[in-house]
Amino acid sequence: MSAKKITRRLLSVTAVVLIIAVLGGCWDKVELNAISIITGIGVDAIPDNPDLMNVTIQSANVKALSGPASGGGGGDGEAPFIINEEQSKSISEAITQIERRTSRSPFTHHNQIIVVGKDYCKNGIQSVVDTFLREDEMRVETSIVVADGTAREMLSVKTEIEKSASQWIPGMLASLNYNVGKVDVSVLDFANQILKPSGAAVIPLIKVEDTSLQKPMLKEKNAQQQEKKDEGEEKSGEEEKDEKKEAEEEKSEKKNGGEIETKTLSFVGFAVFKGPYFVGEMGVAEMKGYRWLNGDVTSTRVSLSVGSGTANVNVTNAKFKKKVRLDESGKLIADFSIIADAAVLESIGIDDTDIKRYTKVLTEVMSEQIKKEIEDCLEKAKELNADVFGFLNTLYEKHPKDYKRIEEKRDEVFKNMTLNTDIKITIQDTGKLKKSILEKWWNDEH
Amino acid sequence: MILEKLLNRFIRFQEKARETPAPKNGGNGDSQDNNLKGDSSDALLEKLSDNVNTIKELLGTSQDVKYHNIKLRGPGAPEAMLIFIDGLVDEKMITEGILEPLLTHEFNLAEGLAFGKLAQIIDKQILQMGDVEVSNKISKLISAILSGSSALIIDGVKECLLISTKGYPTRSITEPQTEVVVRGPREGFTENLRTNTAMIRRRIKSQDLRMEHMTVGKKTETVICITYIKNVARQEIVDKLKERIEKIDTDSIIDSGYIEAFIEDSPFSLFETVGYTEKPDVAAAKMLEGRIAILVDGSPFAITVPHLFVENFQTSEDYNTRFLYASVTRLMRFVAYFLSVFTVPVYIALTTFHQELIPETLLFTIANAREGTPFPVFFEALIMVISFEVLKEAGLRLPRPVGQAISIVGALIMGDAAIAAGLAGAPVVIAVAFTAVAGFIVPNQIESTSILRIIMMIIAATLGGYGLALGMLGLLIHLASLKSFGVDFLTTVIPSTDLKDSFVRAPLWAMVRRPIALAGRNRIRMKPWLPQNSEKA
Repeated sequence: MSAKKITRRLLSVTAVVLIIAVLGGCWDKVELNAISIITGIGVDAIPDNPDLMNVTIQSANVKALSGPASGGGGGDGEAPFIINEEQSKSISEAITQIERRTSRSPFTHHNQIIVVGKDYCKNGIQSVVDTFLREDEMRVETSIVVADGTAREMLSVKTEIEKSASQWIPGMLASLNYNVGKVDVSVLDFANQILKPSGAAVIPLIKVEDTSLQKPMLKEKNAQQQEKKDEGEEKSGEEEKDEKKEAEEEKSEKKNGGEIETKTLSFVGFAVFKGPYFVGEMGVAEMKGYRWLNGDVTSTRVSLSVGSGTANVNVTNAKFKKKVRLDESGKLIADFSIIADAAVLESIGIDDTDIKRYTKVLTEVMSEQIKKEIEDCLEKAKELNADVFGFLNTLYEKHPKDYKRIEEKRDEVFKNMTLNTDIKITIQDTGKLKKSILEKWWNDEH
Repeated sequence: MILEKLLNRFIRFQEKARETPAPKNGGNGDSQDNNLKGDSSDALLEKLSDNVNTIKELLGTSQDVKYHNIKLRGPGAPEAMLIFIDGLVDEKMITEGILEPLLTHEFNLAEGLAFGKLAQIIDKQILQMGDVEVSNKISKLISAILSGSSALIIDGVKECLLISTKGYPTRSITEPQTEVVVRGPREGFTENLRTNTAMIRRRIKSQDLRMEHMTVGKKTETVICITYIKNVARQEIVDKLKERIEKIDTDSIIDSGYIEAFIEDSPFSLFETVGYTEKPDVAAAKMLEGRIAILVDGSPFAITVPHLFVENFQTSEDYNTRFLYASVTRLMRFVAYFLSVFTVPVYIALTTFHQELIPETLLFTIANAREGTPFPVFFEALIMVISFEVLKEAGLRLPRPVGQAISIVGALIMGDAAIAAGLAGAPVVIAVAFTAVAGFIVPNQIESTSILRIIMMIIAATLGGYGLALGMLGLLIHLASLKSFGVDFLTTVIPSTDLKDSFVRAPLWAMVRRPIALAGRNRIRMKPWLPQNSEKA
């Protein structure tokens, strides 16, 4: 290479490197302080206009979401999130519209949750699902929940511990293990379920509950103050100071309305969908069997009543088997078995002097109860005509020919199906107590 | 463009130098040296005063050149002149080894007979000195006294005695400042070539140890010493090295860094393909693996070739501690090096292009810190990186007593004020600070990491993660294309059978062979050996 060429090359490389440093702005570069991070999206029905939806967009108020640098707390009482509302035909359109009202461009990648109002669900949520499955900037793993009420209200709740409802809800769903197993449903899960033969799916149903209390301490204080005022008008300098301070405190308390205004989001069951349409609810009491039939529970708790006593048992190592077949008459028969271990957590008022009898009784009661839970749940599903447990799906997967036979009348087949349950639970552990502490009294009483 | 012209000229000059074969013997050719005249006037004359005048003319009026006139004793004994340079010689040696025997000796010279052999007689019978040379060349005399010898010229004799009386002040052996070890030898090279060669000889007592001297630098006449172990180092690399050194045609070699500049393979690369060390034990260990060390008079740094990428991650301590811990620290160094280059670029790429990849909580924290900072992340990071480089450089050069002031100012500016004033966000400061600390784990690569980091930052700010992937690929291609004296730069890092001393260090007894790229056919270090307890089984 000649000298001139080397020089040219060196110079051009340097020039290019220096120039490209500022070129990033010409394409995808976005600075963090130019985006508004959307954390939750809510969709509600508009009563008199079925074509439009009311989209609630919750975005993070980054300034109030104090990092460790500015020292905890929600800086200056500002809410850590901002709520925007748009009426539009779709979520994407709403996000486009919102640009008119914010100084920053919306950034949807970090959206944590999609809340759909119950009213909206009745008309079908296909548009919501489509947005999340199609658009690049949305994640298909986003959790979806149905609000028993409006999505707007839910996203506006100031939650404790977490910064906003959109962080609170996924956390709550993940920690529901003991009660109902895995209930977190993502948009992708939902879409998968409704595309299967049974076409039924569930989405967690969440309700905003008002748990505000009158602050008891505050009541007392107010009463005390009243007394003080009654006592007399004499004030020393120190007292005056004290009073001033108290007055200030009072003021700040009044700002909060004199009471702790708390709203809690609670899991109240499942919203059941047939295809994209909402068909009904399954309350917490009715859906207890879901955890078993759904088969993804590894550890769950069961409360038992044995005679006059009660017991709480932890079920672990559960193994589930679900077999589905079609008999000659075209009736769907499912055999369901559970094999699991159990450990007693609590046992009150049950005779545990003879450990063998004790475990036998517990096992029997437990089997009965689980069986009942399952049957109740199945009944509810039959009532809603939604095979949320996927019996039809299993039939389709294992016996496709049989499924073809009944495809036309599958709803009817599901309604008439019978379920045989076989439950084998072994009590492995009676807890830290090896011997009954009741023995002494028990013998006296009986 | 002026810059272009300058560069052109510079490179053209380089090419010319490459085309014209350099004169033999390290450019010590007399054709270009106009201080010395042609052969005819180079010989010593019979008359003392003539010779002295010639020498005085050549050396000019330098007050440190001492001319000591002596009169030998005995009948017909001639006058003589002892010439040396004050400061370069050991006065005690001159008094006891030369002057005392010379002046006490009774010369009994039969007229004209032994006169011609007077120089030899003095050399063999009178002087109590070890290193004496008889010469009849003025040029040789001059270069001898310039390097610390004393010259004795006798009236009426056409030869002179060049007596080695080197005794200039040198620094004593101290613990090196750069390669500090917890466990291992603490000696460091000094500026004195002889001390340095002795330190290596003391470590390798093999008869195969070779120390070949060459003189480089037309004005400085610096003596350099090519040290290697015959039958361990590959002869073709030794030859290549000698050839490259012979081609050096510069007037000055002040430090080993000068030699490095002339012999390295890729002068334009960010990575150096010549290694250096300040510790004789390291130099010896490298030679025992088949490398060649070059010691330069006046430099406390030996340079070693061939230099491999992996050497930047090896320290002498790795071999003195147990291999498990050594392996862990070795791996950590690789990771730290990677992080030191890529932490800030990755931060820039993530926060400007791929916000979706940052975990939600972290994103909020970063976004919170970004509020109110005026510059784009790239410039924010650039400001911090540059201010760190400035602080580092200032800390390096400034006189010790001022050091504290700088470190306080530096700590305040870097840590606190920049954030408080809203010039930079805390995450950037953390990223830059971590980068800086991680960089010091691989001290040999500080130069390359500083530049590489900025290049990667530019790429990340332009093309984001895609750019970083490209940059990383480019870096790999570049590294893979480098060679040091015919040996691939990435040897022992890329997959091969020679991986016992790369990402991890195998136990010393497991390293039965030397690295193949360095030692070639002379690979066997020992017989296969197993640890003590395996004999029981």
